[in-house]
Amino acid sequence: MFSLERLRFYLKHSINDLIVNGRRTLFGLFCISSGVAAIVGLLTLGVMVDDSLTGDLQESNRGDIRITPLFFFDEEEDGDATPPGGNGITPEQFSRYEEWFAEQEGVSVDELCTGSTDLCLTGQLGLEGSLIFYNDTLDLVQIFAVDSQQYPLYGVVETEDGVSLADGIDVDSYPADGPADAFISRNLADKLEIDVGEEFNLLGTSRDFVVRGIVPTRTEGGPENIGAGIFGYVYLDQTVSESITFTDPGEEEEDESVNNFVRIFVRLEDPSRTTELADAFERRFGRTAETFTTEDLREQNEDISTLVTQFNSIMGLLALLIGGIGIVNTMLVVVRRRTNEVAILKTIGLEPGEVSTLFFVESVLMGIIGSVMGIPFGFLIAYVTRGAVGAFIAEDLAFRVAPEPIGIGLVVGTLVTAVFGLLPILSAGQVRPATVLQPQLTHIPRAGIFRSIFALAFIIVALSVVAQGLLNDLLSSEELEDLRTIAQYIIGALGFVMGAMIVAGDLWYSRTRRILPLHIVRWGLLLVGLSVAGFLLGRELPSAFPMLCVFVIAGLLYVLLWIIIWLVGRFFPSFRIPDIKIAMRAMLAAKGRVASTLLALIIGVFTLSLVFMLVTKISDAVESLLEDVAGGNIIVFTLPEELQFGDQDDETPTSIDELQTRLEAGIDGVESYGIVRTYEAELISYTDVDRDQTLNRSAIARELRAEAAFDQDTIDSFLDRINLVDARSVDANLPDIQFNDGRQLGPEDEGQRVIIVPDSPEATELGFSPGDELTYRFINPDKEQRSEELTFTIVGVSMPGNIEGFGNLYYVPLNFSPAGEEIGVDPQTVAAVVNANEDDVEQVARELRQIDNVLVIETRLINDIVNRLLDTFTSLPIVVSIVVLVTGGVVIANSVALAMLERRREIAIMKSVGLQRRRVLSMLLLENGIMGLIGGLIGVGISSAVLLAALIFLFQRELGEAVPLREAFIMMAVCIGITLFAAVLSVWGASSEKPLNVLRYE
Amino acid sequence: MLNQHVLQTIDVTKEFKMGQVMVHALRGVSLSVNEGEFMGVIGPSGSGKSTLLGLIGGLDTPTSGQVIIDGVDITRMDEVALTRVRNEKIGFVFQFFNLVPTLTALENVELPIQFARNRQFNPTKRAKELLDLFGLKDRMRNRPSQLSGGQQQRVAIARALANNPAIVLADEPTGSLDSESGGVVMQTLRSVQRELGTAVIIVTHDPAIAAQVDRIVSLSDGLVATDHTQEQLVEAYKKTTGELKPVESAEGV
Repeated sequence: MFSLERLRFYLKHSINDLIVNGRRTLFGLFCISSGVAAIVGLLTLGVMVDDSLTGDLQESNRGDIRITPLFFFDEEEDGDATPPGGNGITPEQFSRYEEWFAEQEGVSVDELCTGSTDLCLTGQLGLEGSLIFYNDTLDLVQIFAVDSQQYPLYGVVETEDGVSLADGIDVDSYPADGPADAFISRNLADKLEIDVGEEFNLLGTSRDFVVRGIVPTRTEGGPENIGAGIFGYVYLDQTVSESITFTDPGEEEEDESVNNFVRIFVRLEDPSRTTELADAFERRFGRTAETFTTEDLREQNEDISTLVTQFNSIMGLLALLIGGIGIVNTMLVVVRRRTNEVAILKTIGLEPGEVSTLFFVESVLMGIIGSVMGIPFGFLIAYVTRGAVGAFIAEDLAFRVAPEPIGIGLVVGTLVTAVFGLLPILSAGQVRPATVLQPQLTHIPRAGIFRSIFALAFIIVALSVVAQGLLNDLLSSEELEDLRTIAQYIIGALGFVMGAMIVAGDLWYSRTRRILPLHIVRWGLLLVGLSVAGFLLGRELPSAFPMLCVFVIAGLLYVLLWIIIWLVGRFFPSFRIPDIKIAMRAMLAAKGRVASTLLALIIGVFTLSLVFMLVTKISDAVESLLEDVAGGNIIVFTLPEELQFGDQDDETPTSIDELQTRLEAGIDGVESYGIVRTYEAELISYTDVDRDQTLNRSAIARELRAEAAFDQDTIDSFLDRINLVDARSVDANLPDIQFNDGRQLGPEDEGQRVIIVPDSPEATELGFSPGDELTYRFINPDKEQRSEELTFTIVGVSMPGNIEGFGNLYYVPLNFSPAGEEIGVDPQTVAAVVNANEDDVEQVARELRQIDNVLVIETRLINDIVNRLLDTFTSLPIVVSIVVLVTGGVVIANSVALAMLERRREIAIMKSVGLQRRRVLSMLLLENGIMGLIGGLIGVGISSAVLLAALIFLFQRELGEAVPLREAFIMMAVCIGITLFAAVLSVWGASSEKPLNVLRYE
Repeated sequence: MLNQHVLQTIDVTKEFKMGQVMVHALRGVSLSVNEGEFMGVIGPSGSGKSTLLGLIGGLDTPTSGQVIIDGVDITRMDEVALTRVRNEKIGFVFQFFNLVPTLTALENVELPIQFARNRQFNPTKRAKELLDLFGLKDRMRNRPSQLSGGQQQRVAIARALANNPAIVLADEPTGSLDSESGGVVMQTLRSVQRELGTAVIIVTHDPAIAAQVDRIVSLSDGLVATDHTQEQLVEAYKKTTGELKPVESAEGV
């Protein structure tokens, strides 16, 4: 009865207190709710991703089984399987598959896809990646050339107006002249600003197409069709191959492989046999094709979904920990404000434990209310950001209110609040009752060293339990045996520490005078019991190790911040400006809270700035690389003869000739231009002049393998890379790169056999240096003709710092042979690199497009594509980081608001001695601006250091090794802005209070 | 029952550090207070009044000496045991009332009974009786902020009496009140002493209040300077200054 009565008292008192201290309560609740909102929002996004990925698998897979060809196989080993012949699965092979499946399912081939059986096979032609032309714009597009009457075998493809693929595409239009029917995706329509009824062209096709319908982007999406989600796509009927010419650049003959399939979708009579039949199929045709079943898709999607959920959970937990800092601050202020009340309660008979229980109940109530408040905000976050996160998996996410995030948010929010409230709660229990006799003095309740250490150990254990609950999938793998062992020792040690602190507290506070032997037994049990329990529990809590690391790092940061604040407050000159002096003193007076608030801010700023700067770095690196490597901002490719439009005869000037003529005549805005011919070349040998040693291809491979243990893939990749050699104009538009050794080409190299090579680990290992020689044989595009052996002397070794795959940096002078000497092979591609004035790029590109049979690409457009890809992959981390930073912002607002409540008297005094409201406001903003600056400097500083480390060690300097300063400053400004915004919210009211009210009644 | 000591301090000292300075707040105070006694403690600022109050109230522990309340030595008790002594044996009345602001008058009075280990009373019934006794029947459901200073102090007295303590310690009980309310509070305390037989110790600066007690102990520099009955004191003052006119003790509540 007593306990019920007390519980009622605790609850009633806590609720009353929360109501009476409305503003403080609200600030605390905001901290909790922002953390809970983050975790609920991110978990809901995880659930939505999971829904989307693990929904209708047959529809996602477009069949029970998807068959794709193996492009590289040994024909001799293929046995009785017919090789697909070039790229993809031939129509003959398709028929064989049909026969095989019909036999397995016991139906006749003639019955397939007729309605008398569910068994059906349909294919997609090999026209996957391509370029689309519309309105002078060139862009990437994915092509789905399918059987419009059968595709898809599951689900529907419908335009936004509800017209199906079968009804919307008139197959009869294909053999006829004029544009052929096509459906396009919404994202492509938006990007090209193309509408139904308008025409477009696809690179390499001989006829135009007309848009007959626009389908929602999500129709083809998901991780397996990420290109479709990013760039957009076009549906064509596969009979298109009969009426148009598709030609691969570089091929003289029409490419017959256009009639081959790159995917075959199978709908089974009995879907429960999916795995069985897929296995049987691979046994039969496994050398030429592989299967991907709905079960495979489930596993793949579950992996992605788990990854997203785990990432979101980690970041949500981080947000909640940041919110926890706000909770600690709030509870500390609550306890401090109520020191006198606690003293009264103790005076009239409440024991320390009962006082602590009172505050514990209050913090649990706050946790519950804050969590409940945060849940709808969480759903709002998920709803608003679903587009950006959906882009990550190229899917449209369907919003739904899932029960799991609600439950987790409520439980975790309440637990974290109670755990973070522990230290203030314990300190409340230690308020000396004698305090009540000196109400005029400021008493700061302290938990004491033993209780503080106990609380810290307990918090780490408790948060490890929370983290383990959230991240169990990630942290329960059997591969984490070492982590489990470490965690055992950590939790065991924490158990011992907790026990030791209780014993030390008993001894220190002399609670042992009576029945000492009983105490000794109790101490022994505590020490041994807690240590053993910790050791046993630790096996199930591998999260203890990362959690301990987080606390150690956060602790070190806290100490660092405390010192910085002390130094700034103490030694930063005030320039005799009283505002600055008071601001500094105020910071000094509340070092602990300022440090913890800054910690919250720094974690948020660090997360966002790291992602933001990394994205910028990659984007900048790509952009500058494209420009630097190209040597200009417009690249003009001449189309191979077989792709050229219009009548060609010997009299017609080639497009490169025409291009050169136009460039020589001068185009407004063109600063310089150069011609680049790219040859496929076979590296014959490398001669190290210093060592007087010549290595052929296999010797190079051997050397790399032996000396530096490069794996075969790396060696192959190196040898392939140096098999392309650019011949470039030496008087203009050479790549703008740095050199490790030697020099750039110059006009004096015209007609010389000299070469520039890029530095790389392999080149370093082999010892490429100026003076060494590389011997090549150049190969004709038809691969039937080879040049004489040509030996080039290395004159420069360029610095690394370039992303592999962008541009070829083995280059020689355009006319590398003495005048008149023909090498007898043609280049693979011929291009002009034009450097136009930044303002005139578009105009110049437009003018160049008027030349027939050239493809004009602005490097910034390629960069746009890269950026779009980057945006896709970084959308999730950026959204998540912003959520985390917002939580940090709420903690700041809370902290500032608490400071304002505490300093109402100080503000009133300042106003009573004549400071105007505006001055008070500016002084408070100055104080918070300094705090934001410190937070920004440290947060951005740490992320810069991490970025630098990542650039050097993770990206091997491929993105350069400099921090993007502009973005760093932007992030610092964001940090200061958030702090000031949070401060304004809190100080606006405080600065306008009437001083008399505060001084008389506060 | 009378003349039995409800409180004894034997050579009590209290030292503490204030910054770098060691403060000797009490230098050996010995006192005895009988059951039902109405006593005042006076002295200038820094004389050790509040420190003594803290020690005899079990709010603090002495550096040396003994504090015996109702026959129990509380000197070496730990915090939990001291809490029980405060709850059961001592009632506190403070200058600034110190009611729990979030609780009503009734709840404030109920509180010590609810947390008593050896509960003697039904919390609500007892609280209502006491508030009724002090003329606060109609204000029971009001929060402190809805009561006048005098009413708050009477609620505080009711709370102090909740567990029928042996001693009521009052620290400047009229210090925050106007003279009329102060008078009512003093009448209330006097009635507590007279009608309930509870010893009341009042710490005060106010000579007018000091004049209303039966015995006055004055402290100076941490030592008992004088310990007189009211009559002795009045005589002594009359002889020396003739300035102090004893105020007639108020009768009844």
